[in-house]
Amino acid sequence: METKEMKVMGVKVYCKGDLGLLDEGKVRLAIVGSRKMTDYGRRVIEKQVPVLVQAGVVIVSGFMYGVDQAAHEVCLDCGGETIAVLGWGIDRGLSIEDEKLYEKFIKGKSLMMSEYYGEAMAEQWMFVQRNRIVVGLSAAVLVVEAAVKSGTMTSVRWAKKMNKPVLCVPGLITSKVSEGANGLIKSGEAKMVTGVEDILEVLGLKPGQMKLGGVPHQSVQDDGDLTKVRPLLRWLENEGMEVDRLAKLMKRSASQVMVELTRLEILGQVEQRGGKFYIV
Amino acid sequence: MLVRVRSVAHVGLTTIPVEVEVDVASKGFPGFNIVGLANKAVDEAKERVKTAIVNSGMAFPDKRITVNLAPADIPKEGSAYDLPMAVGILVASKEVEWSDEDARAVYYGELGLDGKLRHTKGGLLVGLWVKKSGSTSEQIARKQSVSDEKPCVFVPVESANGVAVVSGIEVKPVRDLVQLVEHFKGDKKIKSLNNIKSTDLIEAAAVDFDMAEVIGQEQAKRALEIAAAGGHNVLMVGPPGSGKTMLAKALPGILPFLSEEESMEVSRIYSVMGLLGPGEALVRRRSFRSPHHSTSMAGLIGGGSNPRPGEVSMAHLGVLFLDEMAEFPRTVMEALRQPMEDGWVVISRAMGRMKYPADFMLVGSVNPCPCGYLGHPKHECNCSFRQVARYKQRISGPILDRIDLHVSVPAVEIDKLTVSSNESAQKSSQIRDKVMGTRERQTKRFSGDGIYTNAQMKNKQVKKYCQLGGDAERMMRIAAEKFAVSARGYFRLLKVSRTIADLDESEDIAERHVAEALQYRIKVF
Repeated sequence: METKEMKVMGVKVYCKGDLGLLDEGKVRLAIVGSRKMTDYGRRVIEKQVPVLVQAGVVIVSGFMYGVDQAAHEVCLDCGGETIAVLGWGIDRGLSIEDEKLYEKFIKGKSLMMSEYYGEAMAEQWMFVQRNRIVVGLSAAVLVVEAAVKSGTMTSVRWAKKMNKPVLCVPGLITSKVSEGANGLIKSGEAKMVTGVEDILEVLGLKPGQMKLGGVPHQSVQDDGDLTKVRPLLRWLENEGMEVDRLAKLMKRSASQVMVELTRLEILGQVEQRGGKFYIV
Repeated sequence: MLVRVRSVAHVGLTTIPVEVEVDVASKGFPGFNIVGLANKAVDEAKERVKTAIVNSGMAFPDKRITVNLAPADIPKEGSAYDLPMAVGILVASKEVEWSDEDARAVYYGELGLDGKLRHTKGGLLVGLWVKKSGSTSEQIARKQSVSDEKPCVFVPVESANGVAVVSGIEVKPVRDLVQLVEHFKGDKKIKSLNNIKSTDLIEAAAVDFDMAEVIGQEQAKRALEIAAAGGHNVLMVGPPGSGKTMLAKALPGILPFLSEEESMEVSRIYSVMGLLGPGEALVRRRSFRSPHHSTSMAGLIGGGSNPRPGEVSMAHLGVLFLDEMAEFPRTVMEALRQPMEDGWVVISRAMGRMKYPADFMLVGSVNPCPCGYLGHPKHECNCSFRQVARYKQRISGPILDRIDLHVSVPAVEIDKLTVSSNESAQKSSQIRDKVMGTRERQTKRFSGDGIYTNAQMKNKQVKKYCQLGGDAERMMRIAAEKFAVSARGYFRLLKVSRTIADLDESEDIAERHVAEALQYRIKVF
């Protein structure tokens, strides 16, 4: 990809990709969070990003593993537009783990940018500076899982400086990577997000004013019907479980539960991650 | 006078005859020399034989003694030539006379300084060879009557049981040299040991753990049941303390008993390795080998300048358990690929080329990440994303590809451990019954194919015996696409489905069998 030099908000940056994503008319949202994302964080992203993409929101993040990459990936997977602001030189080679995502960037509607030229090495302070651009580009900042002392908190500080709204997804109070996010909600610095509607509202995109199509809203009734036919789903409504736990709760043999889980997997109703099964 | 005593040498798992020629010369300075490519252990026999004869109250000839181990160009090692040498010296120095019958016997055993015979490894192989060479051309050439005389072998009393499992031979257990001399003189004949029926020995031998002792882990137990039934390899992924090792140790208890033939095969390896203790006759239960991850390639596969069997051969017809599989050096792991495929290994070294059987069931265990707590409900994992990714690359694709069953073993909650009764849990013996029934089905099915288990099926047989109909076929097709199943993975799924159907006593592979098999596909690691 060709590297272009340009000025964004008075800062010189190097860009690769679709510069159209920087258009004034686009609504951009920064999604930031921990590198130690948990399954919960991933689920939050998987649930909300597709809806945001449908509403035409451009997802901005920092291409770091964890929440950043999950946000980019989910966004690109459902055909959305995304901007990655790098904390290192624009031409720096990527590690093998990042290659796959980079390929998706090339194929999808995306833009990569960095303040740093060539193959500059990443330094701690660069990430903090990078966050300033992530926030600057976006209309609002969504925090998904953040520890008290973390890079995510610097993004929040930048947002306050620039007077941008901060949104927070609450996490489990027992989880360390949720302490920062929950703290922001508690202190009133951030607006609590419990559903994608909250984000759309802050971005000025009420559910009624969809740019593209409508939000696939899961009605309670649908779920009710499905759990009648597939009782296993009821057990997974609140949390992911292993086969053994399901077998015990349902009073079935492990092999019977596995058979049912495969059927549900094939129907796309559940998925398996790290030995646990979750409702998609 | 020159005396010839018959004995044997072991080269790998094959046995070759060795003639111990002892000459006590009437002329020359007194001395004791051994020739015939004897190693240090054989050379040291001089001191043992001399002292043993003297301490048994007999005269050691103060003449020139020459011992030749023929054929002279094959390296000899070990202490088993002590007895034939001592016998040769006693007869050659006319200390005692032996009958023609005793002269035709085979002598094998190590001597102690007090004249007593010690337990000597390799007894079973001696017995098997003696039986095979019952009437050798050499004896016919000597024009000696071999009509109804059984071939006879003299071995240390402690090793005699291991020889007596071979039928059709006479095993004379020797306690010490004095007893043997009395036997030669005819004062007190040594009674032959009765043949030990191997079927009497192969019975339920106790195992370390019963499956019922393992709390929870129903999915893992089910996976092991399938593995045992079809001879499949298993990989268990789970945090430390979840019971992976315990489950693996309980596995031999659900495997079918060794058949007589199988027991003989395993015992040969154990006998030659000296792993059968004094008085032991046969290996009675399937072996469970769990080599540490610091084991070298030679230790695992076999090796040494005179190639000895490695862990894979000691796990023959049993279980090779690789705990913390990701910690094994990659080169060592890759070396497992060939024996996993073929069921034997060939080790070539300067001293020769040996082929050892190595038909084992691989059971591996790994942690989900370097710290072990990834996905643990209570423990926080402190590995970085990169560390986890690197850790997962430590086991190569080809090895993972040869493992049919992948199962996650989650952490057990502490409160479950305190519940004393685990009433619903199946006992190992119950599972074993099911497993044996399933194996019978397989034996019947593969009677003309030269294989015994579903895991051994080649693509041709998979196509023949794993036909899917209707629903099962549809499920397989959708799943193959959805889960990006490779060609090899597809055949693996079919094999596992076949075993699950066999456990279900179903001739056809149904949709539910395929559905369960799909849960054991490669995913977590």
